[in-house]
Order: sequence, then C-alpha cells, then structure tokens
Amino acid sequence: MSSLTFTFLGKPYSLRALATFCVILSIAGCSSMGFTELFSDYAEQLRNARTAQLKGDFKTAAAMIVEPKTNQNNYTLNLLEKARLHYLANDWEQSRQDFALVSKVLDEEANKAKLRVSKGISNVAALVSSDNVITYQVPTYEQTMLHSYQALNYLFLGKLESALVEVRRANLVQENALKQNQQALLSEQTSFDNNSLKQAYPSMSAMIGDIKNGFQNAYTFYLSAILYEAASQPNDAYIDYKRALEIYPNNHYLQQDVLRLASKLKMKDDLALFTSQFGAYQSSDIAGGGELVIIVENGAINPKQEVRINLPIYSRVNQPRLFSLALPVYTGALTSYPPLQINVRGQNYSSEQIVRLQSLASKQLQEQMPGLVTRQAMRLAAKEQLRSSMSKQGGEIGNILAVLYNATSEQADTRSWLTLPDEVQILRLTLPAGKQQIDVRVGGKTQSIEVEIRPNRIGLLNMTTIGSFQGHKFTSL
Amino acid sequence: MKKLLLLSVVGLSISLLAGCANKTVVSYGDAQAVETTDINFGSTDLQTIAKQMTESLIQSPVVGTMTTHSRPIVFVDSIKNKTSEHIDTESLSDSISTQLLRSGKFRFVDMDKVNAVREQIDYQNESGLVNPDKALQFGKQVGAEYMLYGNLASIVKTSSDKSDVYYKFTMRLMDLESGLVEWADETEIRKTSSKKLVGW
Repeated sequence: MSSLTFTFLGKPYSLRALATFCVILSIAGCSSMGFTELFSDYAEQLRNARTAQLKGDFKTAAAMIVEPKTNQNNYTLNLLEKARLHYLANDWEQSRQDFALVSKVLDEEANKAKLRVSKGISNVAALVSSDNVITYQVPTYEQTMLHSYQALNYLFLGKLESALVEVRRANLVQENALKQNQQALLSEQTSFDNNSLKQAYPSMSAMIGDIKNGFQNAYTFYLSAILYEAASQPNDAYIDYKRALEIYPNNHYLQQDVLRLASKLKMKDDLALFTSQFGAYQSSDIAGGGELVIIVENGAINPKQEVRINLPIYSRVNQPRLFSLALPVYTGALTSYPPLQINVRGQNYSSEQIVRLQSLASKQLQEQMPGLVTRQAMRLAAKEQLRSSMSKQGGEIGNILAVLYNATSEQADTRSWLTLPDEVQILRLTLPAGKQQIDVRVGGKTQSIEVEIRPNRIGLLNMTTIGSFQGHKFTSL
Repeated sequence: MKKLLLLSVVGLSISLLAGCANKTVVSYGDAQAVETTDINFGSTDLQTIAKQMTESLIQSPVVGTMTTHSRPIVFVDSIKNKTSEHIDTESLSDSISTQLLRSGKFRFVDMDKVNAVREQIDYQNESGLVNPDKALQFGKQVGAEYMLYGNLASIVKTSSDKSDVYYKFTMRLMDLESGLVEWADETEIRKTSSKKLVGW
C-alpha cells in the first residue's frame, strides 16, 4: 500500500483511493458530461422541452435543449432535438444547419479507425459509471429520419436537387444497416445466458408489432419516391414505391402508386403480378390537374424507461452470480391515432400508416440488448471490485461511499431522439389545378387548408398533430 | 482493480492533454495540389473534371470546324447533381466556362445575370437620369446558339474496412436550333479509402 495518505472524516485513505474518486468525478470533465447527466435520466432532462413541444411552443422548447457543443457526449442528440424543433417551428434554415452538423459527425465517425483510443477511454469511464458517458450513437432509424427531415427542409427552402441528395443518403444508410445487420447476426457472442435474459427482460412485442427489423423505414422510401417523381425520374420512384410496399403491403396508396407507375413504365410482368394482388389499375387523373400528397405526423415517441432485472452472470471464477442490472426498456402499448379524413367531390379519403417509429425504436433496442447486457455485466464486476477495495482501505465509510456511488451512478442508458413523432401516415389524391380550400378532418376537428395545385405537379402538405397542437406546411414540388 | 485504476488515470490524463493541446496552425498551400483529406468530392476532383472536359471539348474535331470562322455563343445550363453528396455544381460549371472562355474559342451568355442586366437597361432608359443618346437600347443582345449541360452521378459502396466512391461526369453540347448534340464526353473518377486499424 502506498505510504502517502490523506484523511477524510477522521479515516486515513491512500492516495489511490483519492485518485479513484477524482477520476470518477472528473469523468464529468473529460467526456464533457454534466453532473446532472451522470445521475439523472435523459427523459427527465428533456421533460420541460417536451411539455413545451406538446403545447406547440416549439421555439421555447428548442431554447430549453442543452446548447450543443462538440465535446459533449450528447452533441448529436442535442442537435437532433433542436433541429426537429426548428423544423416544427418552420425555421427550415436553422434546422438544416443543425441536421447538417449531425451528418458531418456521422460521416467522420464512419471514416474513423476501427479500434479507437478515445472509444476505449469512454468505455473505461463507462465501466466505473454508466453507459450514459459513452458518446451517443445515432441508431439507424434516427439516421433515416434525420435525412428525411433534411430532405423536407430543402424542399421547403425550394431546393429539390439537394432534397434528392438527402434521400439518396437515407437509402445508403438503410443499405449499410442491412449489411451490418447480417454480419452482426453471424458474430453474436455473449457471456450470459440468453434465455434467462429473455425471461427476465420485459417483452416489448406489444410495441414492436410485426416489423422485421429496426431500420427499414417505409416513410423514407415513400418520400424519396415522390421526390423522384417530382424530378421526372419515374424509374427511380417506382423502385422506392416497391420497397415501401414490401414493408407496408396493405397500404392502399402504395398499392395504387406501384400500379400507376408499373402501367406508366410498361412493366408488364410486374403489372400482371400487382394486378392479380391488388386489382386492376384505375387512373384517377384529372385533365390538367395535379396531385396532393399529405404526410401526417402523429404524437411523440415515448422515452425509454429503466427496468431493473436480476440476471445470473458468469464472473472470472465462472461461478454464476445474480446481479441486478439497470436496463432501458419501452413499456406500454402502441397508441392508435384516428386517420386524417378528407371529402373531395363526394369521395372520402382517409390516411394510412407508412411508418411506426415507436416500433422501429423498440425493435432496435431489442436488437442491441445482448451487447448492452454484456457491457452492463462488465461494469457490475468492476464496480464490485471498486467497492471491495474501498471497503478494505476505507473501512465502513469507504464501503458506504462506494455503495452509494454505485447505486446512484447505475443508470440505464435511456437516451433517444425524443422529439420525433410516434407514427407517420400518408394520403394521396388528385385535384384540379388552382388554389383551393380542402376540409381536413383530423383528431375530431375539421380544418380548412388552402393548397395551390399546379398542373401535373405534386403538392406536399405536411401535417403535424402533437398533444394539443395541430399545424401544417405546404409546398409545391 | 489496480489495472483498472491505472487505465482510468492514464486515460484521463491523455484526454485532458488532448483537450488542452488545441493550437491552430494556419499555412498556405498549393491550390493545384492533390487533396486527399477524405473520400468526399473535393478540389482535385473538381479540377480534374473541369480540365478534362475543357480539353476534350476544345480538341474535338467537330468543335474545331465550328470554331474556325466564328466564336460560337454558348449558355451553360446547370449541372445536375445526382450523387449522394451536397456538391456545388455551379462552381464546377463556372470552372468549365472560365477555361473555355480563356481558350478564346467560345463566347458565353450568363443567364444568372439577366435580371440585373434588365434592371440596368431599364434604369438607363426610364429613370430620366441617363443621356438618352448614350443609353443602351433594348433588343440588342445576342442569343446563345449552343447549350452546355451535364450530369454528375456517383456510386458509393462501404464495408467495415473500406469505402469506395465512383464519380461519372457527363457533359454535352447541344445546337439549340437543330437540337443535335454536337459533342459529348465523360470523365470517371474512382476513390477508395481504407480505414486505419488503430487511431484516436
């Protein structure tokens, strides 16, 4: 033992014990995480901003988000929250800038070395505190939404070509995720019993529904398809409509889009196949008319909750020991939103779901659970060692301090992009050209919205319903 | 525990050192030097494309006959960006038109400045401040005979250890009266980057 000692509450401590505490406390400094972030969960930090968002006060909500700085571990996450709120507040330029910063970080991350010293350091820090000190990793579904919103920002700024760049990036993200997913499934190795995890960890099947993976986002494909159509690239549009249809085979609008383009592009085999599945294509074109696409965003995605479960973990001596783990989980069931309804020329249209972000988020969490538990197990072992050595050196007080520290710092990583909508629905119809009022029924209220339809063009109406707020934005593609 | 502690302390010191050593160094470099900061579209790609396209256009026999007795008037349409990056294609078309102008074989009209020109001529004729004898007249401008336009497309592939990007730039010169494409060429660029095994 070191001869250098100091005293605290009348007890002598070694310099090493002091160093341990300094390291722990200065984790806040080195990985730039606030003290509050170390001991409180993310949903709690975002509570005020979310309340403001639910009231439709987006500017105030954006001001409540922690000012993003490059050295924060939540830098990208804070930017995403801010950018989404700016988008809702119709501040497209600010939103574009914030999303662009996130894209830049993601690009840099993708090109960095495979084994990184800085990652090792934050993992060591995570070993003695919690996963919250690790730099936030933007999951695939959030990346696809980032590019989708960025595409919308460019559209509202009148730049179709840049919007197309964003949808291509969104497609790249999904392709890479598909590749990585296959590799990850092959190389899955865990140090714990997968079955006991399954038994102890709450099932999120009510939230996941029947989706197959946590990254394929039909909304992104749909958005890119309408953009390609607007840019007179029907072939590219057709491919993306088909991809969206693969994910949502029962969506009537997607079925009609695929049928329409298959007949326009004279895809004989495809047309025969789709006709047998969905019926013959009936053109709803109006001479000199244009189209209106409505994208309805409903609700706000749920925050992750913390759950504590007991799991047998094999330590170094290979004796399974029961440990209490703090893990993130999505609880509850999916909210169902009434569709948006429009009555035009005596015909009723109602919107249909194109993505359920809550399900994507839950599925994604389920997929990363084995990795999370492995890291958690290592952390518990490290903390247990910290406790035993502190109790040896510092007696009762050392023990109490270590137990207190371990208990309060053991926090599940509940970070996720919380200002995202819960689900997105679409509706598409043909309208005669010119300025007109359409009566939209959404959430029990009827709203009259003015749209300007240009001949043979697509008008895009983005409606948002969150809490008590209802708003819309319109642009012509 | 000892190991862990040592690791934490070492790690902390390294990260603190890295945070403090934050000096900015500014220096001048060669504008034509090969730039390989990252795999994205960069200055070298822009210069290569502009150079190859201009050379190909000037050396083409069809353009040779076209420019022996006159200097054809060309307007540059925007270059379509079909890649998955935000690229300033205006800068690319600027480089190409500047180099073509420098060759002395072509003349250009600038469609971006039509409104500014109209405002100026309006002012000269209608404000009453300019001597009417010296004011520029409407309807004296010369129209373009040819249109220069292009596409920039890319294919991007990434795996866990390397990324590959392929750019293809296509450019065409169209006779506006007959609608015939008089000249076309393409440039290809391939860039590969492999990830380092260990890094910060």
